[in-house]
Amino acid sequence: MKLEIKELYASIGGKEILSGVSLSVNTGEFHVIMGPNGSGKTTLAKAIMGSPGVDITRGDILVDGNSIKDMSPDKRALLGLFLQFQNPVEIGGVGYVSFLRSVLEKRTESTVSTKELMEKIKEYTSKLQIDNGIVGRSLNEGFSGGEKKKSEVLQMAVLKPKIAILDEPDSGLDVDAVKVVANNINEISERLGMGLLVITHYNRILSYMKPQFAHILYKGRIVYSGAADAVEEIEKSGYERFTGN
Amino acid sequence: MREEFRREAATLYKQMPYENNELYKKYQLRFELPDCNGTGRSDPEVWKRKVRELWDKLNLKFDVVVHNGTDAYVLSENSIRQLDMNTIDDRKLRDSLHNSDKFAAYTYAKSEVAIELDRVKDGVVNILFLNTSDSLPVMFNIRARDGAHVVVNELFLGETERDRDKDKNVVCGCMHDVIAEGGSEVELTMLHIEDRNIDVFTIVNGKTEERSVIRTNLINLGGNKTRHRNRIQAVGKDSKIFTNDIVLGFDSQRVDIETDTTSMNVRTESTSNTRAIMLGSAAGIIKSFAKIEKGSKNSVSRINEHGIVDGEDAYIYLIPDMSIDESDVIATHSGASAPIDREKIFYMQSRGVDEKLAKLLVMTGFLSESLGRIRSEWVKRLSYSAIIEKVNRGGGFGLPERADISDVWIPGGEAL
Repeated sequence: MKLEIKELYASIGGKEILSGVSLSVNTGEFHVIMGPNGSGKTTLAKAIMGSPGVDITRGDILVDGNSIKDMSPDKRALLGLFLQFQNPVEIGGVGYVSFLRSVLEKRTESTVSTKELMEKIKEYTSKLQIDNGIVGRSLNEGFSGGEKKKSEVLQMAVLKPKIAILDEPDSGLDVDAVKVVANNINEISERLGMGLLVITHYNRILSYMKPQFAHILYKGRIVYSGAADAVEEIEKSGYERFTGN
Repeated sequence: MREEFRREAATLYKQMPYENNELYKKYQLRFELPDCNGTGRSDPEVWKRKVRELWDKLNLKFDVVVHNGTDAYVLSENSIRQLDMNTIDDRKLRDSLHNSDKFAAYTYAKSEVAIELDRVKDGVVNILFLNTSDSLPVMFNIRARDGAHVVVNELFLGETERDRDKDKNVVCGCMHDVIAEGGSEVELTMLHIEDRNIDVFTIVNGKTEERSVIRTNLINLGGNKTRHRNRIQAVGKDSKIFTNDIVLGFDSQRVDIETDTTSMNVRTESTSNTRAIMLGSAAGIIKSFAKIEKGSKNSVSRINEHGIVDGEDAYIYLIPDMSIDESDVIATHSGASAPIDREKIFYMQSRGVDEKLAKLLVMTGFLSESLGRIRSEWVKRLSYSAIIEKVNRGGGFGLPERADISDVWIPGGEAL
């Protein structure tokens, strides 16, 4: 699967946030996007997934050469895209397990065994070191910051996307939790041969992950695309060389 | 009850105003009850068939069946009995007639069936109210004593004989007088799944004595127009009131619900929760009023009203209100209604469920949080099943086709 973003312009509430972003991600590749606050990273992630709050004014998003710009988010997900939300919304009364089962049944158009799903969830609550009690709770409701991040990774493991966009999978996590999350993302993506597009502020999580490509987003434009060595430079000197500020 | 008392009640019904609030007029929430005469005498074959059908579908036994408000059939010895209307002392009802509700006056004027539940032991009582034609309202007295924990589940089904009743709406009415005393607890649940040409009214007049509790759950999923009133007083110290109203309005349904609680003694607690969804061109007013009287020190009162509106012509008015005459208390109230949160829909869609299913999950989840407070499993599951079916189809009346939903997760229930 190939995800291509071509000269993408997007705005929120009439304000332009993305000003001509171009990017390409294949399954099996690991890309990281970095950039200062307000550079448009989350907007890019939401635009790829089809958020109704983001208006695409120019450019295109393609999957395997076909435009998905006018496709609903669920159809994009069924193609194999996955967005890990920076701050997943709490949905009261919708059970964590029953939601995942509904999603899987929609994806496979067949009945999903609750027992098998529970076993899969249990495997990953253990690997991700989450309290197994989340299975008896509403979706994201009352989850701690760490549980929310880990729960998103758990969903990724269960839904098996082809390309996952991870929006700050490390923010709000303590040092140990960052390592756990990173190791699980590595394991899942390698096993499934997934493409990864990880959005992050800091290279802390990248101590445990090895991206092949780095991109720096600044004021809605990609100002650097290239080798992942740039990540280390940002750690030492900030974004100055890339942004000119 | 004497004829003289009934005539007085009928006159009072005509004189008493519905509500002065202009919203009731604007959104056609007012309705007049027809001059029913109980001509729809019960046909035992009808209710027997329905009971058999429900037994097959829900594996559920009823202790009492009330048909058309003209006949009550007590099917089990469960501390419940039918009262002889001629022996009811109307002098005891005089205060209630003059200080209660317009529709209470109608009930006194018209009812031919009164049932009484008086329990000193724990137990569950299931009652079916089945209205098929020209029905009359029912009086139902519930009393729990000596620490008994009594659960009363009422299923209201209205299925009119269309040819006969096509020109007028049938009334489904029930007035409850509930007393919990001696450290006892009453949980009264009213599940309404009536047909579209049934006008529904229910009244709960309640009193909690010392250390006693009244819980009411109203699940309103059917009917043409619905008017429900909770008027419950926490009379004894350390007594508690919990009301839990769940409403799903669709088509052009009209729903008018008011809950009044009064704290009259020290360390009482009253909590009123409402969750309502209005679809299509449905309209509703949900009023909750909590009064804390002078001398009710260390009492707690809470009102929470939440609504979702999803329809161009749908309306919902949430009106939480309080009157506090004692300083040493805790009192909170909130009301919020909004369209469905687009962020929730987007989140679900991003996982692969389409917009329709995402909306269904958000709406059923919203209501099922309140369903989770109900203790009777069959009520929860039948209600949930009906909610899913009605939201999915954008309406629909009567019993859901699929009542077996034992695999569904409901908050507060068992995770299956």
